Amino acid sequence: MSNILNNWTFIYGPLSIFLVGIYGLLTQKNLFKLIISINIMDLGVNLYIISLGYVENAHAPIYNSILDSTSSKFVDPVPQALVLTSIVISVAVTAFVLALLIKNYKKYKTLDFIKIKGIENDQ
Amino acid sequence: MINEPILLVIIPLFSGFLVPLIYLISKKAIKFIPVMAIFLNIFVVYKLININLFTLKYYTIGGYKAPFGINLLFNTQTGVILLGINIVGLLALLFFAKNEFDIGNSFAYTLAFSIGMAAVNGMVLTGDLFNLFVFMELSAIAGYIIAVHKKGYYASFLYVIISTVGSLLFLLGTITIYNVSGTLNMATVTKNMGSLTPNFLLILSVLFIVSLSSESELLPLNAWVPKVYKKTSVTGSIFFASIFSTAALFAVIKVLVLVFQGDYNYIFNVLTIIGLITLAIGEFVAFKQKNIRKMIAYSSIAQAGLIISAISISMADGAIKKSIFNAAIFQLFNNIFAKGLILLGVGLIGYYSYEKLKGIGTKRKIATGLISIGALSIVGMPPFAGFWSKIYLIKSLISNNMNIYVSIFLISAVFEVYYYFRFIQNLYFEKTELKLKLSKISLLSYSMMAVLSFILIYIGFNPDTVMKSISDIFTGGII
Repeated sequence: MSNILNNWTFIYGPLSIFLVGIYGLLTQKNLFKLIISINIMDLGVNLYIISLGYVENAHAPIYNSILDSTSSKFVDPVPQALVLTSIVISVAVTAFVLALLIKNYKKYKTLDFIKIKGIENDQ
Repeated sequence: MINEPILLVIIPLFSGFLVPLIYLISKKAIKFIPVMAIFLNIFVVYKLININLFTLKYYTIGGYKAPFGINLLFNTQTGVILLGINIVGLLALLFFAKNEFDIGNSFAYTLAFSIGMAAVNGMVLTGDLFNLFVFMELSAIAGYIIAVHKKGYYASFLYVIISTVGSLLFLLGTITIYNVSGTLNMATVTKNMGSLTPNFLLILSVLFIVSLSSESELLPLNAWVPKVYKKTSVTGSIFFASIFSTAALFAVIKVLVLVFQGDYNYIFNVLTIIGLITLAIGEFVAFKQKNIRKMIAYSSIAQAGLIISAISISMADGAIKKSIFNAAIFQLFNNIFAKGLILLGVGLIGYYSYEKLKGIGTKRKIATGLISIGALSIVGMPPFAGFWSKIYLIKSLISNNMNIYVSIFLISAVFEVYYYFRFIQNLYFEKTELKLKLSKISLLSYSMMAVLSFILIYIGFNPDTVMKSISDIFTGGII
């Protein structure tokens, strides 16, 4: 039972969040909602990365006196380093794309991408 | 100290950080910073090539030995590809400093070009999967900014969305590989991946193929390409057509060779089909374009399809067929200069639609002459570089008894010949009543185009030397 629960929390959960993001990307027409979908996908991937490095009842990966004496188990530090990088990148991209959204709105006076496509094709 | 490939990444990155500081002192002087950085880069590459190292060597960073930590993979063949990329980058940045510096916010674009060059060099050099992801994101962010250069806000938005999906899938694939193999080093991953179930590998390969397709202009995720090429500035179009796409394709080939080498036949069968479909669609759509930059965009999609399908044909049966593989790399190398030459020339003339380019050959004789050299090289006319890469590719396919691919490539080449010749015919033999204002082309611009056409002609007369200097790029072994 706990195994199934673990699988759901650590693997299928993040992946289903990722799929929610893809669903949003495929169905929404508003540019702002597309950005939110991208962010939801980011969240799913980041959760997935951290959960892969998780080890039950383990310590933080820092050598000190407690870790030396009580247990040799510690969580994998590499995914944590990776997820930090990925979070920073996604923050930067989100900030940039939000600025781009404002520019788009000023130029086309709408956020519906089907209408923007129509305006683009008329030019 | 000078013989460290990491300098190729550090110098442009440092120049990027220098831009805001110099901007405080002088607003005009920043245009020379990336030019100087890339000039220094070319010097470093030249020194590195002279080491004459023909097998891949690890250059460790931070003192961590090869399977751990980040490392760069370098050999002379990689150096030659990097030399090509940096030469075209230098010419594009010179063009930017001279002609397009005043369009929009000069500060942001100078910064974007510097960071873009750093990321591109990193993508070609790195031997670590997560590091590749970081450099891909960096080049993509530089690309988003470059795509806005002439107010192409919607094109850039589309590029952000598509490219982010691609890079997230790549991250998902990378971390899954880390989970099953315990390492991120490309060459070590292969050894640890042996005991995986076929279904798992199928999912993994689909993740990688779809994710890498967004940057390398392959089929599932390449909808952004024509829109961005049409909207961006001349410098931006040169960056996308001959720098970003080359580096991305090179990174794809590196991942395929180092990670998926061995008996993953179905990956390469799927990739061959994807490449051939991309080739067919690219050529068909380029066939009916009336705007030269959109035509180049679809043509470069087609080239990406051609190169990837040739690479995957060569790897389909376990062992790599070296002759096909080398011919595909040669094709990639020639493409850098030819696309750059055409886009630079058309940018100097300043008009893109066929209607306005009619009969321009009588007014701008030298420029159109040099553009024609680029076009003739892409279609594969004898004295120029493109002829030899196509001949090598077809000869090696025939010697391996793959006549079906030969026929497909030849049919696609017929399409290519048709639309490039129509472009040249439009330049020289059409009459027009339009009175266009043509800006003057300076001597520097002509000499930039002359350098690129000289390289194409040089390769055309010494194909064996150049072929030898870029052959066995990953297959020579790793030390």
